[in-house]
Amino acid sequence: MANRSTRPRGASLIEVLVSAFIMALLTGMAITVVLAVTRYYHRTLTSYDLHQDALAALSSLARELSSSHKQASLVGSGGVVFAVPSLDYSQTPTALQWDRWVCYCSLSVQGLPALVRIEQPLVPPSALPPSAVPFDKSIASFQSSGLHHKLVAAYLNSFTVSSDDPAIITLQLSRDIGKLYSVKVSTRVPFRN
Amino acid sequence: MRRRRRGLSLLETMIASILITAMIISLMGTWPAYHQLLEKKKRRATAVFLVARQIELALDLGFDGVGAVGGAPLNETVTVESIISNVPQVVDYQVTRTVEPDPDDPGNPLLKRVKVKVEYDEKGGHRVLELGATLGG
Repeated sequence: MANRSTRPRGASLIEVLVSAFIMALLTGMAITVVLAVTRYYHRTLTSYDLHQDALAALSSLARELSSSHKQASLVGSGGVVFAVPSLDYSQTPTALQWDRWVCYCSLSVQGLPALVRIEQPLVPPSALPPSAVPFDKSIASFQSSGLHHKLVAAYLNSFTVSSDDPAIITLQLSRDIGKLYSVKVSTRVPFRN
Repeated sequence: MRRRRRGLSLLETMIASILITAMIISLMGTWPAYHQLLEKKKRRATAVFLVARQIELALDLGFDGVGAVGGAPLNETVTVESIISNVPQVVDYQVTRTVEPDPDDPGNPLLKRVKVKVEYDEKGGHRVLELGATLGG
């Protein structure tokens, strides 16, 4: 009886090469898709965050600026300074008391350009809005004061406030993550007090 | 009896890979729809944010500060421009705040209904979002 081999036949070199090529092709496609999805996810997240940050910053600034008075505000390059009143509950009826200077300006925070809010007390507080912003309350003086600042929005690209009434606020945030993402928001703010 | 295990032929492998490729391509076809949905949601979220902000401002102003019933509406336009790879996309949100009598008790001078409406455009039409709050004097 002939000795017939029962060993299964292995794959030929051509078969192995073809299957390896196909596997490489499929793996390459899968990696490309996964990378594209990850990149897209990060970009969407970044653009959404920028969008929300810009709106929140615009809202915060618009709200405070609208409570000010045109003559008690000073617009300059890279910022705005204005007096803000608060309600004086010790008086009856409740009256406004102008007791703070607020500055929104661009400042470098941890190496990133950012929009910050800096506050200084208005001494002495008054019942009427200040007739002008004093010389020592310039935007540059706030920027170099070293006072505690509150970060309003990071990745600031440009920030302008017009000196009209209503004032036009334009704020642009930009971030580069492979592609440049930029969100520009603007609105008109009438002075209320 | 000898049973030879046959592997996949080249033709079978090719057909399988073509099917997988077709499947991946058809899945990628859903990409623009997904992107469009995200854009819609982003605009909606912005509109909700603006409505909520105006309602909050009205509550902050209080019954007396918010204005008289039937007075001039407050109009505000917020322009949002998203720039991706130097391609701008501009959306204007028109915000209108009105003060009306309270619908449940229209004759009551101590109640005011603040209504905030935000209008904006998106692919598929013009969208309006409205929200109201009642203030008591």
